[in-house]
Amino acid sequence: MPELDEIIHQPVRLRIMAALGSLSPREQVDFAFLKDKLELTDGNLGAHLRALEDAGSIAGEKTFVARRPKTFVAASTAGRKAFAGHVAALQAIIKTS
Amino acid sequence: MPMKLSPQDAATALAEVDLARTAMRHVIREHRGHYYLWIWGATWIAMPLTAYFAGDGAVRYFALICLPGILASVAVSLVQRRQISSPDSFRPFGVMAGILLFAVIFPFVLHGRPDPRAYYAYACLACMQAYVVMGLWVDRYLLWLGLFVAAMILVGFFLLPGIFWLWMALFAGGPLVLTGFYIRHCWR
Repeated sequence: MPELDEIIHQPVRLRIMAALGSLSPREQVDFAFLKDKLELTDGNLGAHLRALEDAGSIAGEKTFVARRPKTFVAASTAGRKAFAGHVAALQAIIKTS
Repeated sequence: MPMKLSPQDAATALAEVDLARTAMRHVIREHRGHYYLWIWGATWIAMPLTAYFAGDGAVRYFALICLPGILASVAVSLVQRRQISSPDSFRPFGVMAGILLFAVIFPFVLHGRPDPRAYYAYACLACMQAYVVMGLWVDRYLLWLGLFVAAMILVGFFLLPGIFWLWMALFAGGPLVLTGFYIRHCWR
């Protein structure tokens, strides 16, 4: 039986994981680009990414592109698994109602 | 204590997931390679059309015609790498470098001054070989595109020498542009 994940269930984090989970496992998305796509503020996205990173659901990588610092984030294998389990649990709740 | 959710809350959460996935699907769609197909399709139309109107000697200008294509490809790659990055992002450049070496430079090394039409047909066939290989490894549409264009190149070269350059513009460059539109607008 799939289980709900309390960290992922928070609405913003759920959207972050859905977005990152849509990418292939080798791809990572730019912080600013993700912020625009999910229509979040820097602080809001940063705080939720930290929570997901602490839970091991995502991994961040800081790098330089054209001498400017950039942060890329990607869903970890554990995060993808937890997100898939969470979605399956949500579907199960609807199915059994 | 395990989380408890009402079916309504679960449905709301799943709707959020769908929204975020849809937004990301649009992004992924922009990264599918159709810009490269448009750029090189246009280049493959421009090169043979130049030779069709200016004669076989125009082959010497083909490198110049390719230059905007190379610059545009680099620009697209840089912009896309700033959005979604992956270790595979440099593949298009690797493919381009391989094509340049095997399809453009080696024929000169081996033949000195190859026949312009045979040279162009060979260069296009070598590009299509790359498409076929990538189609087998990465995305099936490249396989069919590579096989189709390769067949068209051979038809134009052997059966229609009188309109070879025009044929190449229509049936070698054209399919690349059309496939770009197909990927951009029809893939979900």
